[in-house]
Amino acid sequence: MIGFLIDNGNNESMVDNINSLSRVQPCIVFSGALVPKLQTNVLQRYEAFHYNGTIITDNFRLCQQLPHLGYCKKRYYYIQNYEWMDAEPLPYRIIKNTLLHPSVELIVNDQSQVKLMEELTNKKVKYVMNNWDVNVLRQIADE
Amino acid sequence: MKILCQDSIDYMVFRNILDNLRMVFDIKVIQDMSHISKALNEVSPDLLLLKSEDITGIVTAYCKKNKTKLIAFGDHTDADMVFKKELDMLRPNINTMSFKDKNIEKSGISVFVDNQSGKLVADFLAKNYNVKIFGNVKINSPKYLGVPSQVEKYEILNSSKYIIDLGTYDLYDGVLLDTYPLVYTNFNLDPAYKQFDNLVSLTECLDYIQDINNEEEIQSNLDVLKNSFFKENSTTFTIEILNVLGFSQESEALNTMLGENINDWISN
Repeated sequence: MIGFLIDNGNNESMVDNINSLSRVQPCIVFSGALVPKLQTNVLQRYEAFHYNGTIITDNFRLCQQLPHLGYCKKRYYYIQNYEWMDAEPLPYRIIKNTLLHPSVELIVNDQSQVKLMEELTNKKVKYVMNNWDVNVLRQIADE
Repeated sequence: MKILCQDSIDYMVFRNILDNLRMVFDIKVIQDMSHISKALNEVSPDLLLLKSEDITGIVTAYCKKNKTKLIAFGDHTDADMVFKKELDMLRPNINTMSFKDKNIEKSGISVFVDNQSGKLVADFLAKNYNVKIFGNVKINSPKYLGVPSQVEKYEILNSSKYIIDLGTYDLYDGVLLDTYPLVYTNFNLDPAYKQFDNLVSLTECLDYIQDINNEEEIQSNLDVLKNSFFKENSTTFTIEILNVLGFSQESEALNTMLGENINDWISN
């Protein structure tokens, strides 16, 4: 089972690829807003606290919740943009609870991000997933 | 000994003295100076620390009558001891060593930037080097990782091999936590430090630390600096002040504590 913690459904590529995945894999979306285009199970975001599978978020703000999802098997932060650059102010404890948190694993959008993220976090990047590539999502779901 | 001090005196030497006195004595803090008479009567301090501009006739009269010692921060007062802003400087606080974590593997270069004068250098480092940047001045790079608290700063120093101090005075804490500092300054520091005042000399410093042939020399420089901090630090400075003011018993108490702490830190 793979879960997605999302802010809204504005990212069409994400929605399309989750829909493709849901045809072959059970998946679940935890969202703060209704996403009519999603053809899979959508639950209120707080339901993620009871979820016990693998979970992915691409949102820096929501990533702060990942360490608190106590039942999750694996927690991934999917870094597409370096969203912490927009945070102002940015207390270091937020970086500690997201990028640097030992229970949060990293997925990046592009091979060119790997070196930077590994140097910054001292962690191995687990996956390079271009624009919610459904094949990579399948690999993650199969772990 | 009873101590009364004013809140938020913006002097590094005040921070040094207060941190040390706090370890041994109870310190009362006054925030609103309009209540100084009441505070003096309630606390009956043996030692008073105030900004020069807030030392009124009432205060000096009280000190004379009750033999209270007065330390002033600023210019021209009748105080027993005066610290002027132009001579203000921070001294190493060796209590930082209690935050030493030997289990963390050291790696990488951390940059601390707290004022705009260091922004250009921080931008240059973010663009060209593998660094992590921290501090109150936001740098437009993913390598900027936010504003750490003091304890988080110790965590960062513990896990870093080198720090670049862009005017934040983290060089002392760095040395005490075995993190070699590169310091951005125009003043001549001890030759055991690496210092720079422009991008060219910064690049030279970075080339120096990245050359593995220099590792032994860097470690020996760190040891030299650390040993010098054991001899002269904010605690020894505070002890000296207490001695000058005639608080010999109190200075002895601080001296004993310092000796015990240094022995503990060295043996650990």
